[in-house]
Amino acid sequence: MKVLTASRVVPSEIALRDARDFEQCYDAHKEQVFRVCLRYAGGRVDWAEDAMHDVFVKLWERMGELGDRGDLGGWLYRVATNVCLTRLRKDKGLWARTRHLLFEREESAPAAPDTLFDDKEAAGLALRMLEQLPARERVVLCMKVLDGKDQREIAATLSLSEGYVSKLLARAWARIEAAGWEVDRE
Amino acid sequence: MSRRNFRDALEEYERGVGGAALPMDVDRKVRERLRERSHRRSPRRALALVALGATGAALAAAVLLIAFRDRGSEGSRVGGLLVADATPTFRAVVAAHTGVVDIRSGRATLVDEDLHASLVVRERVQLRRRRGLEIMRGTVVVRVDKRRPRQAPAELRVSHGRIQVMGTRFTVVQGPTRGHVTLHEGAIRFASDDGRSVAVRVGETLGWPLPQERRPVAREVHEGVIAPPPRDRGPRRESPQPPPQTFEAIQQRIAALRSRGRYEEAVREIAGALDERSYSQRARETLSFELGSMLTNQLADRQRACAHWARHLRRYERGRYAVEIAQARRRLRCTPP
Repeated sequence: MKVLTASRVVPSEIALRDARDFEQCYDAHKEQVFRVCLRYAGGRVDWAEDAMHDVFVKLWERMGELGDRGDLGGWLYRVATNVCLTRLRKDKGLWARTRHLLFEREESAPAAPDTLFDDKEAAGLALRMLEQLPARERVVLCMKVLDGKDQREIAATLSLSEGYVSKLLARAWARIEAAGWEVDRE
Repeated sequence: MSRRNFRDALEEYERGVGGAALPMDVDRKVRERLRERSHRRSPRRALALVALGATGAALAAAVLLIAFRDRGSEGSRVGGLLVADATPTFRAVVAAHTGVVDIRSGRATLVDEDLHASLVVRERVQLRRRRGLEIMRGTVVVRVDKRRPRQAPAELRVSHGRIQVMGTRFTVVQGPTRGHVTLHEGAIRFASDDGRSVAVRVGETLGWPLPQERRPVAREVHEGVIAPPPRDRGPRRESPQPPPQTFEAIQQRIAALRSRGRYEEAVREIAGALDERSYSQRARETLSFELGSMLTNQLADRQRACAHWARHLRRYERGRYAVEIAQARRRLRCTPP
């Protein structure tokens, strides 16, 4: 009988164990991750799918290092938020900026909302407004308003300083107000 | 004209997104992509690995030699065991006078070349290689190559005896005063220090020390802990409680059942473990959610799933999975609790 060597023993065994662990984690958290991605995707399912894939790739790569699986939801939330932020910033990359320069005047400004709009229309307008915001401001605002996170938590999740988070929030609110929305900055 | 409140509108948008379930085709596609990715290494990563490999190898060897503090041994060895694979955080310390290997952090696969065995270990495992391999504390997944005919079984020492192995895969959990072994494949035998010997079959868990004055029988695990022995009608005698499985062990067992599509068994296993008091509230909540997910998604048993979710919500009012459960209940059309 041959002596066991690293190449013979390890990959199959570890891969098998990790794959089972991973599948369990995927099943438990896929809905939560998808929702976070879909939010920043502005309803584009293919965008959310790609982001979700990237999130779970990161999980796969870090499986061995994640000790306490109890807080996996929190870890995935952080990763999903950062993955989406990176993708949003890429979306605003060179091509997007070129297009913006070329067609800026043709793009319509976000419509000024008023009470005549019903809820569904208002949601659509809110999405359009969000899309006008720079990626970081968009993510920080959503975390604040929709996830109820405070500045400290947002700063920790995105690896930013609290002061910078406050600044981003203030800028976002200012843009929204300038677009004709009623703003409550609480 | 009064202006629309942005916060309200944004929350309306979120309600629309939040109500969206993960479409099945997206779920399938992501799974497939992840599966493909897990089988290959990206070219970029491979390039990076090649670039790092040359410089890293020499450095790693030096670091391992220092970190393991294993005098008189070659390269990546710890306490006489070959370190076949280790996470970057892996750290083990060998006590010079006792030879005890203390895995302090990270995870690794150690190979005992004499025993023809590989051991998957993670932090807080203590073992020693002296006249054979002894597991002193912690959870170890062991794989032993199949023995040749007439070859003596490989032996693993634990607190109250030896595990004799003919080639197999099993998990050993050794606590300070007792422990147990769960067999996944093959055949093993537990030889107790008091001379008794018990065969363990696939799927069975055997705990030690063995009950006194009674022929011990390895029992199949159904209820999350080892099933109690049959009622003793003779004179009353001391019988130690069967050792509970660690949370990690039960998770592994559930994952194994799940991967084989044995969902009903997994459900029974979790149901039994839910009342295990040695688990934290958080661990029990995780198990309860796992049980509900399995009833909802894999078994698609609406009645049991709804009943379970209702129980779960009563027990964990401010639980961590509120959103997922609300969604599952909506899909199942459960009546409000």
